[in-house]
Amino acid sequence: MQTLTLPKGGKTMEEGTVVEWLLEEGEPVSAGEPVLYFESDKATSEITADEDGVLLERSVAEGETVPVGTELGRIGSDDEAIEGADTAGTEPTDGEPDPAGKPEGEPDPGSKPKPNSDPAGAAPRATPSARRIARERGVSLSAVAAETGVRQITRDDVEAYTPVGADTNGDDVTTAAEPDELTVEPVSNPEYGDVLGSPWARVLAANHGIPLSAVADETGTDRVRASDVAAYVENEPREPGPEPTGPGPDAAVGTEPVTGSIDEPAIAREGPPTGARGVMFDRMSTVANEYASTTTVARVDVTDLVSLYDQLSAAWGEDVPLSLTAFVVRAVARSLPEHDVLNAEVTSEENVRVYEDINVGIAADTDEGLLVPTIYDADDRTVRALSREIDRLASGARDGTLDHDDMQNGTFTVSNAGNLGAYINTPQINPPQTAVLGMCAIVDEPGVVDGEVVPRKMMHLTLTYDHRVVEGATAVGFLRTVKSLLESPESLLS
Amino acid sequence: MSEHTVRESINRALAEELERDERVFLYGEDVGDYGGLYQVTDGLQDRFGEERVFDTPLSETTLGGTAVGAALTGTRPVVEIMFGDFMAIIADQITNFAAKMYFNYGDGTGVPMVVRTTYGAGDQFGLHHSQSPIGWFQNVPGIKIVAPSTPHDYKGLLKASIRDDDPVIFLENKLRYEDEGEVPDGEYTVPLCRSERKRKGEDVTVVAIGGMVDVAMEAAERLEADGVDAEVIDPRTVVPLDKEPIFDSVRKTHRLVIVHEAATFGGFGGEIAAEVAEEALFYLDAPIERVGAPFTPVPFAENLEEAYLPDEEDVIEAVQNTLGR
Amino acid sequence: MNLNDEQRREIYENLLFARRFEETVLEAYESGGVPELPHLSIGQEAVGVGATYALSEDDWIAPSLRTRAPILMRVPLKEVTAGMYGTVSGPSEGRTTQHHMGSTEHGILGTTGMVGSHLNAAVGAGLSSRQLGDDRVSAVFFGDGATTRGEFHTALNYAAVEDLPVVFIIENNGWTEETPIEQVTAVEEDLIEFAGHDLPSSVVDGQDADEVLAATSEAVDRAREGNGPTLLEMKTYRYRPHAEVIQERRDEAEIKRWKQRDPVKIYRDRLLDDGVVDEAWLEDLDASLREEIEASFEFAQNDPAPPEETMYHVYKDVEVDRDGGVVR
Repeated sequence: MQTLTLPKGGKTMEEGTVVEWLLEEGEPVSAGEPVLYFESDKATSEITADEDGVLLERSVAEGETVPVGTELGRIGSDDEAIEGADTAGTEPTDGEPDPAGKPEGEPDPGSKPKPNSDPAGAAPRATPSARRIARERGVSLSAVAAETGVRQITRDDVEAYTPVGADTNGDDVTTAAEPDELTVEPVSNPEYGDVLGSPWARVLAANHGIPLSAVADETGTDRVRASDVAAYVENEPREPGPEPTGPGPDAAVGTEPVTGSIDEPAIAREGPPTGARGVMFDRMSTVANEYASTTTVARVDVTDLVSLYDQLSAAWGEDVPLSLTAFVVRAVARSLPEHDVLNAEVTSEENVRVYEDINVGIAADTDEGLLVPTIYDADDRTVRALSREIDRLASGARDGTLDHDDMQNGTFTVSNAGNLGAYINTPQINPPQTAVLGMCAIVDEPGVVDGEVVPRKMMHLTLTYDHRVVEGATAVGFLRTVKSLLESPESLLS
Repeated sequence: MSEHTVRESINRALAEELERDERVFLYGEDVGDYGGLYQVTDGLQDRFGEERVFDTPLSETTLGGTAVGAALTGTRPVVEIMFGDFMAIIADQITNFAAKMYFNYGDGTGVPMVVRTTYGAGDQFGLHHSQSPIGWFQNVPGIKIVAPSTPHDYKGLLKASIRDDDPVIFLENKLRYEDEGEVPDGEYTVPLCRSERKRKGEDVTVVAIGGMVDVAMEAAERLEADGVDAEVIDPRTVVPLDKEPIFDSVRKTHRLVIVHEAATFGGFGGEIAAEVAEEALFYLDAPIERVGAPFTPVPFAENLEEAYLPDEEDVIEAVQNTLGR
Repeated sequence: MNLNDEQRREIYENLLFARRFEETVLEAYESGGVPELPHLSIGQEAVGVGATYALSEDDWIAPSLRTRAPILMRVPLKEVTAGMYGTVSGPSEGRTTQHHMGSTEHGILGTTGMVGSHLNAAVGAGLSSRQLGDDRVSAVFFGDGATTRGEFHTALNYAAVEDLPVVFIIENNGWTEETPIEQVTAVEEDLIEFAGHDLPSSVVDGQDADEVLAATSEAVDRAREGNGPTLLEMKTYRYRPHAEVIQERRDEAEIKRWKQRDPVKIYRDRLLDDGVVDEAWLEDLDASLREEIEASFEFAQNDPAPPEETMYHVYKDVEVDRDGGVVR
């Protein structure tokens, strides 16, 4: 018997929340397998089983917060199992099962030939519950498959099967597994159990912190694919892990659960930056190592722009999610042709590729890090069209619904840190581009109009450019053009 | 835009390049007076004269060798090798000579020659007039192999091939000379060494080459009715390969099917599969599927040839396999 | 072709230059100095020198791997020597051996290790001349062994049928690698019996540079005037085996007999007899050639090895990575 208690994960940890039970009551568990996840103020950690057995009891429900030391549940041997514990609901109801395990001499007109059948598929396919019961009863899955002729064995098939010369009372049976069953017996890998996952499914599961065996149990397959992980996540909404975007696979696979220690500072988390943050890490490393980044700043009087914005917002209403960024993008798209080395890429050491198309990337801050979706042909769009597109891209970035094309082919980037309150902010170039424009906060400052000091709204624009290929005069000239357009904002509407 | 056949597209590409650049000339067996076995060069000798468009002996050795020599000395020959099978005869001139001279010279001398040839099973021409020769040459650094799929690409890629400074094997699918498609009326080229996404999709990446692009596109249409959204990528230039669009697509769809006409074993599909396994393994959600011919010569009997040639059914089945259906 | 004394001295200079150069190559190779396996032409110098002298500077030369003299006459010596060492100053910066070098600047067609594969390439150069309307002639040198290949027949046929400006020069040294040519060819006497393509052909004393020059000049004139190709069979002999790794198996007496008609000596004696040169001039020439050749070897030995990126020079019109992937 193992009593599961909430451990003290760090010096300051007083209490914790049970985030997720990975097992139902009555479900078997092997030593080393995770049983539940809990969350402290620092991190999410797991509690694993110390011994083989079944989960006898969940004392604390998911979502409940309890003090350190509280008993969360118990693991014990089979005969301590709770009577009537039923883990039904794992029967597969959809999909065409793999015919690989079909016994010979049973033609199946409905199945498609599979010239490249998976060698691992030589073992009969069975749902996890079927496999568990077969194991408990000492029944050979191959024998069940031969008897029933089905391509995927369910719990019912096992229950209906009476092996020749075997006692169906599982308690007394200690028959050793047949060799061909070895592949489906539990293996010692606590993460994956007796389940095989596609590379992408493993990445997704790891990123969500889900053991593949849990997915297998839930979806009734022992060949887990990405769709199974997605179905699992959808059916049991949990604390979302980072979406596996960008270099996800390579970065995500190595992360480990974190535990605290009494003597050393508790580590909240570590591991390579993943997803959009991984992309950021790589790109900024490139810029730091290879670019001659230089910044020039302009102070723009946006009083007229803000009042035009207010006017139009009122006139256009909710139909148009008008944004100041749209005006800036419009001004940028107008100014780039004249300074086209800013609308360019450095493709290799000595090659500068200047683009004719103007595709402006919009830096968007999301939960996963910075994303830079692209407004294609920005120079062909009106302020109104730009506003709509910016809104679509920004919400897509937040929801993770942008498609692949939305995330590439940018030729210049605009970053708005102004709405975060930055007085002066110099964003870094998005390589291999040659320049990035930063928008900063709009502040009320005294200005001089017709010799009088009057309150004005001012904003800084910062242009960071790769001085290897862009001359200072070009950068300043570009900013001057953008500034004058923004200071006569009506011109941007035509 | 107007509708043109593949044959017309090639003929126009040749005519435009002969017109544009007096260093270009066109020769081969029956290409002059007769207009080519497949009538691809019809009318060109009348228009450009016997000095620019002319017949040769039945000797691929002469064609290959003289083309290399001419390309090294300031002209831009376009030769026609009647059947891809005959590429075995000029293999020496292509692999040891044309492909290696830019490497062999130190002064930037290139080998701007184009070897046009046909391939493609399906017309019962048998085992010596139907083979796809891609596999024979894909392992030869220095050669470019172009296999277009649409009338638009045939024209644009042939013009680009003639202007290219490297030796190009330009493969024409002899069963698709009658295929029609939209072709711009004005001057254009299609760049070599650039893959193109012929169809956007989310569920599976199908990389198809040459005549198999149409097969893959038709399979994709039928799969759509079945709720499967296939992306089709046409490398267009097989060697050297523009790999990134393939990797990008696989990272998005997590599934890969490769379709080509030559035998699966030792074919170009294996190379793409290996590249993806190296670059994008962890993005794969299913084993990679290859669709190609069996490891036999192209058979003659109609039913055998039909069984030999990959078709939409084969592509659909492979896609379904990657989807675990 | 009437030669003045200056031209005759020049021809002799080239003969002796080729001789001294290859002797130095052999010495360096035997002392482990030259990485390129030498396929020497010692004994055959008059063919290359006489024929090249008949060409104008613009004419194309398509050498075989053993055609050393024409290369020495057109390419700076240091480049040739560095080519044998595989160092950066060689004609291909170490990518290929000097035996296969090509150079558009110097009018030399690159060749391959497939004996005879350059015959049709030389015909292709003739096609270029016709297309471009210039009067450049191409002269292709090849050994007797190449006459047994299909390339020989197809190239002669096509050049003849199209009247292309090509001069085919067989350097018949009697031996195909280590097999006597008469043993493997079904001709009565001469290899030009193969021709029969309605093209003029003749047998020439390949040991006499003047004879070679006269015969080649006639063929070049014919080609330049638009009257098509000529096949010349130069009877000659090499003093060394096919390549320096091969054991000599030829008869000592045979080698000795040929050495009595040594091309360098024949020309030297003729110039002395005609009073064109004297012993002092000859000694000075020899000394200065030796010095120049020594200097080229010293240069090549100190020339740096090529950096690795040198070999990534495979496509002219596209950038590819190490594994042939297109770099975008």
